[in-house]
Amino acid sequence: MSIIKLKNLNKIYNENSEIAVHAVNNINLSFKEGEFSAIVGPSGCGKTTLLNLLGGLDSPSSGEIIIDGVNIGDLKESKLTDFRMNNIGFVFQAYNLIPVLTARENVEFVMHLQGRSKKEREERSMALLESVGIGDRAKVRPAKLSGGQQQRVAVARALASKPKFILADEPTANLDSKSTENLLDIMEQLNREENITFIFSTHDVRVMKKARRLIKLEDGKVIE
Amino acid sequence: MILSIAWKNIWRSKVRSLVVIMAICFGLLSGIVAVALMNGMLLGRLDDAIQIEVSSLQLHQAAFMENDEIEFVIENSNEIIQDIARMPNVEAVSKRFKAEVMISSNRSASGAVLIAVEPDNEKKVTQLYKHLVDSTSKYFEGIKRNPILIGQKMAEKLKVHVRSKLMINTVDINGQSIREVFRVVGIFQTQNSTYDEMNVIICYDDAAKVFGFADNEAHEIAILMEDMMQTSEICQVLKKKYTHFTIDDKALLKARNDSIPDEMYKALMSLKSEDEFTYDEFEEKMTQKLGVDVYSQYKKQLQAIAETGLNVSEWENLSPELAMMASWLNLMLYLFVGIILLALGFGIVNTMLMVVLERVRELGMLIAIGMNRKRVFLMILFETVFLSLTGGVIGIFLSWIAISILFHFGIDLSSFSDGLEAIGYPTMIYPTVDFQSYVKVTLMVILTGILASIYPAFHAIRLKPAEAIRKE
Repeated sequence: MSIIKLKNLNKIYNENSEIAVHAVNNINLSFKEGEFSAIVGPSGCGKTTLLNLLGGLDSPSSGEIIIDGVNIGDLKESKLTDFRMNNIGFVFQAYNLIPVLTARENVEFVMHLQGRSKKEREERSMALLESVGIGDRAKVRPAKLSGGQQQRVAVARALASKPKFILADEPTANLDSKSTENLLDIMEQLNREENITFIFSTHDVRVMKKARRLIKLEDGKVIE
Repeated sequence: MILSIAWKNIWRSKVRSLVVIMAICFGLLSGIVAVALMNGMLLGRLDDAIQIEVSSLQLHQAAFMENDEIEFVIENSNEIIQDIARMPNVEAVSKRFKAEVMISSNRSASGAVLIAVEPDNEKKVTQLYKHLVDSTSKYFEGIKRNPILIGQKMAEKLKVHVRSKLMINTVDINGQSIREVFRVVGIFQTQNSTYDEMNVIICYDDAAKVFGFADNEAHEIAILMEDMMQTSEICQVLKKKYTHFTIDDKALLKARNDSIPDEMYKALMSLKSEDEFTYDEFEEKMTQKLGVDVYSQYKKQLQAIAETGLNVSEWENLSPELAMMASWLNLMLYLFVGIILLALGFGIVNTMLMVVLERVRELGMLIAIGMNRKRVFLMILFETVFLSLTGGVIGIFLSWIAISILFHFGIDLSSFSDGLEAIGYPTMIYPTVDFQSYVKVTLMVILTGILASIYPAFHAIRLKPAEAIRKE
């Protein structure tokens, strides 16, 4: 069953000017629950723009993005923010953890925004950190974690809100090969065992190898 | 959690935050201590004025307030004094006789206000006896016949010293010219050199003989309250008891001369009568005629026009320039601290804007993962308020310590004594700021923090997450 449907999706930057850029060009796509997919393509092909549109971080010039039956283009700013909080997990290239909070507090943060109880927050954050293999680093701040460890905290944070899917924008771009391998193993395991949907944007061959579906983009169009 | 993050965020750039905190801290320290110094000077002046010159409350014949002629005396002063002395919160009561006189020594002469007092009672009301210049000066002791106390400035002017003879020329209660010799028993020096130059003090009993008034007569009854806060309450009680109003031709003429609005004049005209109204009756009738609001607005003026019987005045009415200064105390605090916080506020805006610009990617991430813009706004607001309040609390605490030390030891400005005493200010200053002012300053700091956060916070919530996340 499709949890995400993209219909005639377009994103044009500087739309009414001479330097208009068609970053996403009439894309029609759908993603099923439990997918482990990668959007691939050369730099500038529109991977990140597509991911931003999927995550409701950017608005399309035309077309529809339907997530779990909701056209997110119809949502107002504050509703969209809440929708993101409850339905979408994000893993960013540069980890983007809150530096003044510990690993565990970073994971708890989204649950706090969701208004979950302290007990639930504490139990789930610890369980998630254990599941990504850094339970012993729960009380450490990001600055004292390696890049791989930080990205694992970011994955745990993305899972904390119990999202319908996780969008990972070049999650391995700043990691060495060993950390990349570890991170991909963890995400693959979460996908296999807990049926969590992952959608990556990447040009990392290692990620492409792990992905069960590759969506190739070129000049904003799906070519394969 | 937002509060916790906001607090932790302040310490991300310790040096920058400490610079802002120190700026707020020392800005407030200097502002509050400066205000405390001014307060100390003004309160010193007020204290002196109340304890030496005007007391808490005074009673006079209503006519004496208008024209201080010698014949306008309070006729049953002893009974009134006994009555007032029994009232709660009244510390002491004293009667005075006042007259304008010409005073002369062998070498010089001067005009003066002669004040006749009962020394023992007066000692309880005013503290002039504490201001004698040296050990040869006594407070009405050692000279039996016609002792007189004069100020240092007057002594210099007349070129006299203790035990010198002085001749007083004036008119008695019947308008007859009189001359009487007095001997200087003491010389006083207050913080107000004008007072020292203008006033001479004699015994009430001596004045009664010289001026020919009865023992029960006085021009002035001075009251010192145990608690100054109770002054208005007693003033009201005394007014209800001793102040009367007559709206006769004389009052109407006065109203015309005072150019009061027609509406007031018509109201007075309609109540014209030779009968005397009590305080309550007058209030009731005027309120009926004019309404509560209009009467409240013109109350003082209308009462002054029709007042008969005794006038009861608080120190604020007797010395309006001091009352005005007292009201400046608060204004000064707002003005000084306000200007300092305004200047610091721009610094805080700048700092917080830097904070926001440095954290664009993080703020974008927060918005992306579900932190709504209201929460982002609050986070920046809390950060700014915490930053300001940290500096504010330290600054206020340091101010409190500094003011406590300065209050304990006092600040000696005797090197400027000539100038200060000429305008009635003490040379020893005890800086002080009341607790309420500290609370007000704290609130002002919080308000500054809130105002300073608005621009950076708006900047933060206008960020677009997709762009912000990719910012280097």
